[in-house]
Amino acid sequence: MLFFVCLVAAGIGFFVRDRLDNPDPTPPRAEQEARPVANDGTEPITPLPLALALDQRKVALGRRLFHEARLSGDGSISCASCHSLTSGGVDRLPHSRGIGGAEGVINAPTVFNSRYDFRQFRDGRAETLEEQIDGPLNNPIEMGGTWLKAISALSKDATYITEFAAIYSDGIRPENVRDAIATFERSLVTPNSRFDRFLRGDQEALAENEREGYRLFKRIGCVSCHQGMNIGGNVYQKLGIMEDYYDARGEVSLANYGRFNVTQREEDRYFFKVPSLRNVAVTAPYLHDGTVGTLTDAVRVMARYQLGVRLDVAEEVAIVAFLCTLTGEYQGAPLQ
Amino acid sequence: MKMLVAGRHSALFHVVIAAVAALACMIFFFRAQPVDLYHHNLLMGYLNRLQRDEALLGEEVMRMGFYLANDYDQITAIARRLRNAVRELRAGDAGSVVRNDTAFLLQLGLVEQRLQGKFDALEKFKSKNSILKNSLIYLPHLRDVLQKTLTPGQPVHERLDQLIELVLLHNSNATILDRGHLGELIVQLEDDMKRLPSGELQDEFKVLLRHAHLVIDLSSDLHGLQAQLGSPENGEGLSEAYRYYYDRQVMRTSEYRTYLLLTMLGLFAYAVYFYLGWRERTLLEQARSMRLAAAVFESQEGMMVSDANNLILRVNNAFMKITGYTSEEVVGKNPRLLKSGRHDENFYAAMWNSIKSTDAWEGEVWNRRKNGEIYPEHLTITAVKDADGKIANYVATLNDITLSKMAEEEIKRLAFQDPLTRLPNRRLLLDRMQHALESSARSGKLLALLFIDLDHFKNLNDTLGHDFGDLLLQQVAKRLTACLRKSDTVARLGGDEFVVMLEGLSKDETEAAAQAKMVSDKILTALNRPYQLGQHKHHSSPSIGATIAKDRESSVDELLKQADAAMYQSKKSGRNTLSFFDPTMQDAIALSSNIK
Repeated sequence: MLFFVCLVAAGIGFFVRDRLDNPDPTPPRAEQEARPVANDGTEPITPLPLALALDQRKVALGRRLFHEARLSGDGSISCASCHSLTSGGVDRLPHSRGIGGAEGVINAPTVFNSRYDFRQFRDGRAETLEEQIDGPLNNPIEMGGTWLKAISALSKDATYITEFAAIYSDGIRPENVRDAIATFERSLVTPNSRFDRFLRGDQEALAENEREGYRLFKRIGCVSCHQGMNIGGNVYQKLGIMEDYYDARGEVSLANYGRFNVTQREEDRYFFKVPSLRNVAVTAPYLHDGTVGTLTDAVRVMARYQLGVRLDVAEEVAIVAFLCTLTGEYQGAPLQ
Repeated sequence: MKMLVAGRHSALFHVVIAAVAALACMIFFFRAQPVDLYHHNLLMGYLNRLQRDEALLGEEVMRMGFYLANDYDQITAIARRLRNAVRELRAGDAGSVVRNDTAFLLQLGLVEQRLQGKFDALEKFKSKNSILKNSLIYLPHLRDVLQKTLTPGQPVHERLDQLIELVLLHNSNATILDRGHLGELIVQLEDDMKRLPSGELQDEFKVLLRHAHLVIDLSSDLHGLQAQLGSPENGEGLSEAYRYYYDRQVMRTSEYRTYLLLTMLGLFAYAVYFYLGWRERTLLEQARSMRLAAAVFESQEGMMVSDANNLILRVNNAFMKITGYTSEEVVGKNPRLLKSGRHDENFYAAMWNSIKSTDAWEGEVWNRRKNGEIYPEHLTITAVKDADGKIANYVATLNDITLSKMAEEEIKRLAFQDPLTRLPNRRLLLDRMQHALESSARSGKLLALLFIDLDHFKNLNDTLGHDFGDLLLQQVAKRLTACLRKSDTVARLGGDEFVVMLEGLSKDETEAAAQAKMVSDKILTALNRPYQLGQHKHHSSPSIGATIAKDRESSVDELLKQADAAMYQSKKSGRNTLSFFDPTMQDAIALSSNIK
């Protein structure tokens, strides 16, 4: 009898163990595809999704951390210092300012819609938003901090201790800080721009010259790089296809080498991630070097160096008018 | 019997056997699983997705080439999925099963290498494709613009047409291009350009040539990239490696499945064997306990078992010996056949009450043997109940206590009897005297006390010894008893002293004294007869002292003292005679005897 009891007990034990080990044979979570709205295949641009599914506790904690200057070396710089949410997610400086007033070497890209970029940084050296955080945090002329310092600073704050404990079982740790900030950044999406409404079928959302601007945008070939949901952000391209950009500008620094700095391959020299044109009207100055102050100039520079086209004034005006319709809404209000 | 060793081992032994077997089953069970199902499915999912996405990537690139797709979102998403899948297989949960399989890891390394190449190619493809698409649009457009502006009829018009034709041909199939001809053409066109007046027109011409160069360079690059990205190679080698790994696991585990089966069978056999041993042991134990019960039943005590209706079921040998009934004679009968009739109904009713309330009764009962003899027994009755609490049997144990009853009576007798002569002793005499005095006081009939002492008894003891003295005392006792009425008492006080109490004498003192004297004379005669003590003939005589309890208040002690004193009087008077305590009485007796 004893043996049968043992057998049955063992059987039950293993069944339970099995259940514990493999609680539910659900398939691994499907990747969220960046294609929320069906495109009929004719438009090279798709609208941003209107709703997001994110852990709101992480978003709230990430928002605090995004504005947390104690993450920097001297407690003066936060993520928001260069990526102000009230100014298009950028600092509107040609080059950003780090701790102690240090001047950076590159123009800060906007944090808005960065989740839809295929890689992070202008040279695409980080694959994810989480990975990206380490860059500015450790950069001596940006936040100039270390994780050790940042964690110890956060650990002195009782609010952080409780908030982290509520979400993460292991409390305040670099990967959890990254996770919270990245989750918050994923909430920084600007849907419902006039152009998106147009894409969704509202023809009246764009004025005639704006629609003409979009037609030009496609016809002259801007759209061959600035395409997809983020109107860019999913392809590398060389700055100066038709003409040497630096010939005219002069003074080529390391930062201008772009993707070459990552791959060390000659063929990647001067290649940058094509930036998203969403909210482009509020993120001046333009280009990686921040040398172009107005949108009209930016359109002119792009047309000349990338497409070999000289636009007349009417065309420039139309394209700029179109670009201004790409400004979306954050928390229900258009970006300023 | 020999095979049933299971019963001989300790419980610990079986527990250890069971634990070892269970452990073995456990181990075999888990070893019998080629790959944990959850991880197998997970891994298969990733392998399938890897293959599908790699094929999809090539397909999507092809679609771009045919203008069937016009943004890079889809292609970027596929690349990201592929990157995730490889990462998951390399370091994630999905790959945990095959993390130590070198063949799989080798294949995974190959896949990683190939995919890394594809990712690099993909980025190049995207960049170059964007430019090429634009240049292919700009080329004919710029030619039209230039041809409209340039003076008609010049060879440049034809050369431009030729350039466009060749470039487009090159774009569609680079292998059939005559590179020398194209190079010549471009050199001629550059000359044409230089001959133009500098300004806008020359710039347009320059852009056209730039576009032509771009198409020539990019189209051959793109063909290579498309071929690389759409290569028929996919994750098949990886799936193959896993399938091979899985097959080997299945082979290995089938062995364990056999072990598992054998262990289970062994376990079952052991359980059967254990059960048989256990049953055998139980039967042996039952038999032993039954033998023991039988032995206990056949004890020295009489045992009787009856059913709930109190009909006898079984009796033991001791019962038969005590009652004289055989088993056959009593089985099926009510035990009341043993009743002696000495106890009334109340006695039995009390007995049954006790059994009903306390399930037991204990006490002494007079019963009757088969031969009619009544005997005392010590009886214990216990009611035995079944599982439902109903009385199933009565068990009676009985002891014949006849012998102990007799002993008890003997002890009682010894307390009041002289053991040598079996005459009442001093205590009984005093007791009887007390009663006699009381009844004398009521009836008025007088009583007399005779104190008898054998003359020279001490000499007999000294010459022939105490045994002869005792013989004499016994014969004296018999003769004394013979001289007296039943209602009189003769007692031995000790030594050679006897006392006789005569009751119910005349109410008149003198008459009573005469009656006492008459008895005394009888005694004197009887005791003077020779005695045969063994071989010895012996002569003895008594000295008697008598007293009449005349005043009613005289005490027992006082009367004895008076008789004693009178006896001494007889000794003084030369022995073998009677003396009265009261001299007047003596005289009166003497007078009356003289008259007679």
